[in-house]
Amino acid sequence: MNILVVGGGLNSFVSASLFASVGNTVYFNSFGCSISRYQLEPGLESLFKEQVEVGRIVEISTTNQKLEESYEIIVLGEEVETYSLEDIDWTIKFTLDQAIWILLSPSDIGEAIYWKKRLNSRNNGNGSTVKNCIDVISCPLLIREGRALEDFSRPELITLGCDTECSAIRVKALMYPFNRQKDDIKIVSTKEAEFACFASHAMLATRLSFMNEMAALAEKTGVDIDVIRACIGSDPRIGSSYLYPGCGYGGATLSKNLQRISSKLKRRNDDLGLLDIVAEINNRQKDLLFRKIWHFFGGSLKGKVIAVWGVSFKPETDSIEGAPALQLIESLTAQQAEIVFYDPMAKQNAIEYFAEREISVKATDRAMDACDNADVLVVCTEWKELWNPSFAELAARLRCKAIFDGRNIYGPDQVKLAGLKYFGIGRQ
Amino acid sequence: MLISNTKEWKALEAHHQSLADIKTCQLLKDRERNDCLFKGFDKITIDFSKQKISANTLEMLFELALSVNLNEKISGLLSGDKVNTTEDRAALHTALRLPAEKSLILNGEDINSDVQLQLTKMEEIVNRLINGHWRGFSGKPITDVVNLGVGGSDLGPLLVCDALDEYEVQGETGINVHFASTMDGSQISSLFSSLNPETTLFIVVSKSFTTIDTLTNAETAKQWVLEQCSNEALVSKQHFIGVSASPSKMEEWGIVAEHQLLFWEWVGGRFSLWSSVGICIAIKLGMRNFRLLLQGAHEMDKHFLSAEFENNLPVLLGLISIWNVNFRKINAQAILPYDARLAVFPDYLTQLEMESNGKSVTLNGEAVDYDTCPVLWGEVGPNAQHAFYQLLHQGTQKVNCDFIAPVKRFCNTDGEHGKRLKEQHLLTLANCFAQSRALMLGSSSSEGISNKTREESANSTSHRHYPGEQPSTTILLEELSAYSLGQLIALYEHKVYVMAVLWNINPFDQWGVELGKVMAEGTLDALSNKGKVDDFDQSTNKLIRFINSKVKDSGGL
Repeated sequence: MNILVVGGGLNSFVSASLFASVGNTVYFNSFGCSISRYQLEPGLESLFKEQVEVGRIVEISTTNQKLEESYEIIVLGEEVETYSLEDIDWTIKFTLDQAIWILLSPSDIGEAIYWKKRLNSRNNGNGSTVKNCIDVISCPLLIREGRALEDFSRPELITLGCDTECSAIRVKALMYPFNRQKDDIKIVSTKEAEFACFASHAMLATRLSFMNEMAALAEKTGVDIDVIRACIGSDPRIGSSYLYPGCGYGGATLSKNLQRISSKLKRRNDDLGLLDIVAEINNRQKDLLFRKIWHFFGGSLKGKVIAVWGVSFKPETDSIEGAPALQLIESLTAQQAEIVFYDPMAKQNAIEYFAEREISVKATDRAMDACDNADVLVVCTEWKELWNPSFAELAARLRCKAIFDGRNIYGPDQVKLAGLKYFGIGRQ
Repeated sequence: MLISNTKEWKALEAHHQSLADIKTCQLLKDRERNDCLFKGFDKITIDFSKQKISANTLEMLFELALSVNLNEKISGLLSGDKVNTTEDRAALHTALRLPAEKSLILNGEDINSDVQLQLTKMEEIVNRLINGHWRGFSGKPITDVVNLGVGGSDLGPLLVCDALDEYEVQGETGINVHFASTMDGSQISSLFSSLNPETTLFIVVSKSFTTIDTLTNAETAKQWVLEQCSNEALVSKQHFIGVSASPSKMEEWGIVAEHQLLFWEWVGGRFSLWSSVGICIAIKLGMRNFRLLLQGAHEMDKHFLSAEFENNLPVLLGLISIWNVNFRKINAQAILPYDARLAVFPDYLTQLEMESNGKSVTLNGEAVDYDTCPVLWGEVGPNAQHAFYQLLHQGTQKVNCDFIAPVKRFCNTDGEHGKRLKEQHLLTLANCFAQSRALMLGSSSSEGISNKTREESANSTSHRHYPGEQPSTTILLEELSAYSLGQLIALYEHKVYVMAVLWNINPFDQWGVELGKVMAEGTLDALSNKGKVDDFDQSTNKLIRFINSKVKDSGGL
């Protein structure tokens, strides 16, 4: 199939690489974005380059007018609202009659219907309107940074939002290589697919905020929330994923989609604000470590040196969007504390982020180095390499001998045994 | 010599007599006169033509003003002359709104550098609050600020915060601003029930930092926070800001140095919203709007200083008030904003005008033989129409009315309801103009009264008679913003000064409020059984005994 993939984000690079890898010819316009942005995404860069080399990915650009191909399948990897008007116009220009647009990242409910109407009523240039019979379908990809290829190629479920049967058949064929093991394509309407995408994000965020609320209570009750998590997670009605309390969820999509669906709910009169509270709890969680540190130092943080481990919003990514560490560091420096941080992948992004805001921070290349002459250590991201540090060494380095564990990755007793004070989320 | 003995004054008295048989509507036929009485400056336009004045009246009022050297008095005010003679100091509220690059030397020092220093300190505090970096004792960001002040430390900030509510800083970190002024504790106790001590910051505003009303509220507030956190040093530091002219008193009370904001002896309380006293305004509206407020007022200052009398809005407003009070003998002034956002404005002016000009001796201590400040009150116009306008239309008192309205309203409100709101604004303006017209014309205008009503009125003519001839001034603001509100407030400040200059009284002291304060001390002792009970007049003795017996009966208050 002749596929055109447009977009400069992770979804676009992943879908271009994987569609090419199963034999399609993929014309790819990243609008100037480079694969090097994703060199830390496992396997992606090499797969992409390999496909370019064998000629199944043909990189094109907006100004490359030599290519006058038109395409039957056009994949928009990113949220439509993130494309510029020129980029959209360019994409429309290459859309054949009878073509299908596939939107991988919905940004509104009813979006596919809107675009279908718009594409099919466009003017042919002579003043008359032509019927192009272009279809727009919504196929929300739930891929996670750090495991994007795996999520795309072996999905738990493909939700295919499609309002016409013949398009469903065509897109099903396109997705066939990723659906061979178990036939798990669910065909629904475009609106249902979009809705399901937002609802699933809202559900995940709600579970996390619920657990954080329980953690707050556990802390006051003298109970370890981790024990509670294990107990309730073993109930099959509940399940064990997304039950980990912590210093707040981050990332671009989760917060944004939660916000989208909650603002839709607000237009109804009977919304009691559940999702607002979910977001509010998350904001509070992001401030929680600060409050614990503030309390520890009796409200006087001036000149204190705080070591921070992990600034990415989750492990295995260099993305810092919405990461709790950012807010923590900003709050601490506003009280004139000094920050030394360590992150195996997101160091450069964080350095740039703080430089833009004129916030002075130091970064180290080794985790332990961040703790030299620091007063306390805060863990914000649960990188695997941080799970088992030498607590004796930490106790020797940290002047005030305290660890604030924003992800509950350490056993409190083990930490205390080394002579360190331990502050987790929802545990004592 | 009292101004009432000058030839200019006598001439005006005679002139007033000459207008006795002339109605305002007759004067209104003179187009040239009307043009002279329709004046504008920057965002403010004023129509004085519904006042009973002829072109001659104004000329004669200018003569009167010249006879007391109003020009020099204005420049003296703005350049730091000791216009507050009883307290031997300048009244330099105008210096608080000078642009940063200007300087003003007072006693050899550039006071604008002090002003700018405090503005910078205020900005730093405001930014910390708005950015969520000001934390309460438990580490949570401050979400609510309570202004504890009374009189000038309350009314000015309250007016601006209330009027400009729609301009408040948007976003998650917007701070809610509250006010508590009364010593009876009612306001602050109701705030306690809705606020969280962990996230509430109190701003204690008192020029002397001894104002009993404010300090008792502040002590109670401190106790309220201490109930949740016993670390008094932490509570004082994170939950209290002081604004005062007395750093030592602030320190004594426990305000840490970095949370003290200063203003100066040369700023009168009722003229102080432009100083650190206005910090609540900046917290609610952001520093940008606070600076626009200052800028608007500064433009009015320049206008006041430089415009010739016939175009000088504060001078015209002041002189025409003098005309009404002293020659037309009208001792009541109503403030009638046709915009509910200005609901606090009448209260604000009540203090500004009556505390400033409610005096009866001249600068030399000589008793005046003419009236000074009229009794002033007011209410949002459309509501007042259903309250006290009856008295304006048919009562026995003559009242000078200031109608105030914005020209533009709801410009940014879209949709069908936006259209409806714009129509409501037109309806409001129609009422504003109709009321001032009806007050002037009275029954002489038969328009709008139906035939049926006319028939009825034949039976009850006297009850339906409108005498008219109530004077009024209509003040139009282009639209209500920080900038235009700054101009409006400065307009009235300067009007007050113009009147004080004419009356030769000191508008910057308030000795009248002291006596009651002193008497309250002994009365409190008597009520709390620390002092003698029967040392007062018969009436007060009886009241004290009554309360004490009730306390005794119930075993305490």
